[in-house]
Amino acid sequence: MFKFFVVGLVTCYTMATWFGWEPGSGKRGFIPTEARQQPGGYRSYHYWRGGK
Amino acid sequence: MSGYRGSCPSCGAAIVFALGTSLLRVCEHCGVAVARKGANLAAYGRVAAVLPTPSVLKLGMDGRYEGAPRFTLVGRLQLDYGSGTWDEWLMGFDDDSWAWLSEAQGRFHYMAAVAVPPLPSFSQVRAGQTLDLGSGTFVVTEARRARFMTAAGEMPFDIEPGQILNYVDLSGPGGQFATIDYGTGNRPEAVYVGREVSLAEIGIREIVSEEDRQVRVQGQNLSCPQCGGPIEVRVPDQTQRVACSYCGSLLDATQKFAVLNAAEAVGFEPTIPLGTKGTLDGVSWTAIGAMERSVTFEGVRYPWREYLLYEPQRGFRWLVESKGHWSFVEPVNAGDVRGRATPSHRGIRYEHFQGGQAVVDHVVGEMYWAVAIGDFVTAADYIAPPHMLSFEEDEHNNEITWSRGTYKEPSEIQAAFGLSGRLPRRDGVGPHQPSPWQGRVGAIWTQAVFGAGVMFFIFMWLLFGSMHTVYQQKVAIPPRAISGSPEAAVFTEPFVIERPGNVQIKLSAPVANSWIYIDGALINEETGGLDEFDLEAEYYFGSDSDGSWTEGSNVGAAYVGAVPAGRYVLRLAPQWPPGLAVGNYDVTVRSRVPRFTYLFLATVLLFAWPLLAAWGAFRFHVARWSESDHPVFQSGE
Repeated sequence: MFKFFVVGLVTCYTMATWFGWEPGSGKRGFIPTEARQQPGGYRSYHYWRGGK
Repeated sequence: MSGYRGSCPSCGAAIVFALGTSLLRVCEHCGVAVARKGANLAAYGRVAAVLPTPSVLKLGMDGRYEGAPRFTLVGRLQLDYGSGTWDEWLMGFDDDSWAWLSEAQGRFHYMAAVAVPPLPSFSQVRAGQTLDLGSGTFVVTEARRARFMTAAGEMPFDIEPGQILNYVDLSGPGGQFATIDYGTGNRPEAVYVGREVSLAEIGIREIVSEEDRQVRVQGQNLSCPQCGGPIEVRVPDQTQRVACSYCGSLLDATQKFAVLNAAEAVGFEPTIPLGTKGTLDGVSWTAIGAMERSVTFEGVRYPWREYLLYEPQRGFRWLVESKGHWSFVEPVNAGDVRGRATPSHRGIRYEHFQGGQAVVDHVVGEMYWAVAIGDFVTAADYIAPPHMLSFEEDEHNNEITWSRGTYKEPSEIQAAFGLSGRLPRRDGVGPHQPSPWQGRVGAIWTQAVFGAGVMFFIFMWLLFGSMHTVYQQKVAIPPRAISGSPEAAVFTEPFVIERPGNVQIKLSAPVANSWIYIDGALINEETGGLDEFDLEAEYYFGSDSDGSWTEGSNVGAAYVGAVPAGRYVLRLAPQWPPGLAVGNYDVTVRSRVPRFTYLFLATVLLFAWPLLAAWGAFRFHVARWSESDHPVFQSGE
């Protein structure tokens, strides 16, 4: 029983470490295509002030 | 055999001594014991007829043992040690040599005379003592006096019936037995060494039929003389005492069921009804008797029950129930037990558990020895779960016995004997109850250490073989920028993350009694993927009445998980306390950073199970020994 627990835990740790899972990370967002196509793209003032 | 012929001095009938070495013979015609006195014969008087025990042997039977010349049973000696009788058969070999074949409780022991080594006198011998008999070290199991009751055929000694003989029985290694014969005096006269044998081994194939044996013991009154209740005797040839199942009176089975101890009620009701058959380890046993014994310690009585089991080929065994814990008990050859403080048997070392004086309180059914209510022994138990080695020494220090119990699950007993009612509930941990953690805790720890090792290896491999810095920059905050304003925010130069994994963004700022907070974003230029994060560094210091102090750090870090490979930039929008300029700060981006915190948490989780197992094993250990003479924790009284 414990053997399976060890295998499961080590597997989880290995996968989490290998793929870089971070439980505290927020959900990944995406900058809309239209914002990226505007002048200045995602660097534009408007996008970061209120466009996002 | 070179015989000796003569005439009975009493009746004149012909007397033939089959063995040239025989010194006594019972005349078949008049029953007088006739002794050889040189060339003459002397009469010792009439001897009693042998007791009608249902032995499977009889005079005249012959056989062969271990390549020795053919033998014939030429004599039968009956001895009484005060609490019962047993038979010794004289084996007369064709070469005029002889040996004894003792018969008791359905077991046979071949005993041949050996040279008498230097030995202590009878009065100096004590049960439990070890003696060197030349062929090995033997343990004295019994030192007793027995009365020469009667005989049939011939005997190799010249002793009048009725005399008291002193003898010592010993147990040696490898199942050997020995007897030191002190005759009627205090000095050893003969030593016999041998071992237990089966009738097949000694070539006796035709034995007295069961019908004939039963005829011998018939005629006994099979109803209780105290209450009139029927008495069922299942092993009549070996039963010495019977306790009536109706009134509890103890009867002498060897004296026509004379009442030894009258009672009005049975002391207890056996959980296993007498007469019940049960199969344990492939052997079908019959419960023929039960008794309740107890020890009293500091005024508290601790009782247990013992069930006498019988199987014709194997003899007697015990099934012991104490506080709902069951044990199957077998006799052990005392010569095979080494040591006393921590005895070992068959390579297993036992630890002392408890000792005391065990008293017989109640008896029901049959017993193969002359049990009496109030009999007590000095007992000691030693454990090596699932076994228990028990030592008993009788109240007169004449006899010692060793036995070995094996723990049985109550469910096994219930199934074996088909018991429909509830068995006594298990209370606490049995002395030799196998621990559910036995052999598991070590394996669990081994597996946990192995798992932790694997995780540590992965951590170190990522740390030194996979983690790398992908970007580093010193960022200057414009002098007139306002905290949190877009003017203070910057986008870094693009950088490439080659392999997917987590990303660490590390901030280092020269804050002093101040703080800096960065609202950050990791932007994938190719996909527009956006991971936002917070970075903060705050550092305070000063001094008070307790001395100088510091708080916080001028370094902070944030992690973004599962970042795909690609081309990225950072947007960093700093904030700081109004009026306190930070100046600049350093940003470092590293990819595939192993997290020590996660390694630590996983390790804690991994070792939680072994720790719980160790705790469970320890609690079981404490509970087991709490009832012993050696509790782990002493009582607070």
